[in-house]
Amino acid sequence: MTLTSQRTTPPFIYTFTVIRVAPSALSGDGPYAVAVIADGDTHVCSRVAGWSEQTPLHVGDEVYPLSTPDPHGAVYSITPPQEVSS
Amino acid sequence: MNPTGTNLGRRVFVAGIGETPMGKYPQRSIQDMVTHAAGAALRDAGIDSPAVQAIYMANFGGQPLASQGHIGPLVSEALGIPSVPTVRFEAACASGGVALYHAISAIRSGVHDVILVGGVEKMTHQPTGAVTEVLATAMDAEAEASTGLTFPGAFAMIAQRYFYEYRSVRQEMAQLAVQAHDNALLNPDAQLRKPIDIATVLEAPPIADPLGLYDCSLITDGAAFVVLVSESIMEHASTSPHRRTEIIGAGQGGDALTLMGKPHLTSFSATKHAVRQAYHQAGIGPKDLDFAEVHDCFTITPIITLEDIGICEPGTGGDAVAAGHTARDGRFPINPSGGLKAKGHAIGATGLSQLFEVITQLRGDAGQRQVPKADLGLTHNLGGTAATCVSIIVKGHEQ
Repeated sequence: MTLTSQRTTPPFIYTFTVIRVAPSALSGDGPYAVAVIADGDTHVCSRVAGWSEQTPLHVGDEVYPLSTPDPHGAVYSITPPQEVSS
Repeated sequence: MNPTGTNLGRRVFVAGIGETPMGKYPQRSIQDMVTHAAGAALRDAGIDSPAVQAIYMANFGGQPLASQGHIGPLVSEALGIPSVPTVRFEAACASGGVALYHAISAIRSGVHDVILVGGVEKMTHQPTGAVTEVLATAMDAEAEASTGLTFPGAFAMIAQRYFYEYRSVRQEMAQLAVQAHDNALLNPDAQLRKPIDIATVLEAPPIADPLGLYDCSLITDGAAFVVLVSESIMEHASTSPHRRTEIIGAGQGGDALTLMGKPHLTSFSATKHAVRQAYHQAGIGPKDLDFAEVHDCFTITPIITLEDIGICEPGTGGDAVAAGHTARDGRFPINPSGGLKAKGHAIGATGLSQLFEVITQLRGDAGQRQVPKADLGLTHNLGGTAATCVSIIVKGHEQ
């Protein structure tokens, strides 16, 4: 049985930040959002796709797993999969 | 036997202390810094270097930042005692505390009578982005750093969760930064000796929400050393009795390396484990302490630490700060040195630099930054995202 099938509540943001000063290797990426996602019985550290200055994150916000990580490594998004633009 | 009846072995004293000023010294070599600080500690102890039986060194980024590994023999050679056994400890920002913890254990157990314990870091010659990248190696590379998470980012997430579970302490975090700068103004060894105000902190460039520039500790060059000795050595030392200080409790605690592996983010298990051991050994509780040097890597950390070491109830650390209790003349002064925030955070040296300040206060040598009552002091040295913690309780001379 997978964790996904055991899930009783959807994944949500346990805590988050927006990185404004990135490590030198990622300096072209910033700013970007990173969160600890509560997903079933586990916590996962992930970038969060869909974040922008106009779309701030909050603790408790529901997030959606991406079927494939986005180019910056996010595996969760604040928008449902069908709404994520390419 | 200690007051609680636990057999800790032999008593341990701090016979001497020495440090470099903390700051930006890009032209200064590691060898130069350790020679200065270790020499000062040995002179303070009245002990010649040939009497040193072991050197325990703390360093985090020597290899990636300064192309220098094998720090132990570097120090022993610089002091003219190359045959002395040496070892280097690495536990991120708690490297210094861990070196101390193990040196204390070695003296308690009778392995050595005189140990020179030091820490050093050389960082400021590298660009901030490169330093940030090296510091991030102290977190889980695959699970966390690969996402672009930085240390300010990790503690920013801790702050966000704290705000959610209790209340926003953004104002109190800024107050702690102001307090650190005020204390550092009175410390000749401090890196950032300039006053700031709350508005400056709150309006500073953002680093990782909600942390801004003045919520973050510094990138620092520096070295700090102490000479630990057994009771038999202390009895014959030239140190005057009123300057004798004894380590009466020392604990080390651990927790998951990752944020996501910790059971909660608003309290640090490593701190609780470390102080529990230290209090037990010392036979005291938090209310017996007079002051502390705590690990203020970011301004949220002292608020959580006040709760974890038992000075405040969970969720009330911010209230203590707002009431002025943590100021130099408050009920429980923290970081009279200026802390990591303003004295500086030379990673490997930090645990030693904290002890340097505690000893200085216990001796009554802190000048204008002297806290009103200094008989029992505590150090609190965190590593990584609170994955390692060492806490040491030191007692001043008998009244």
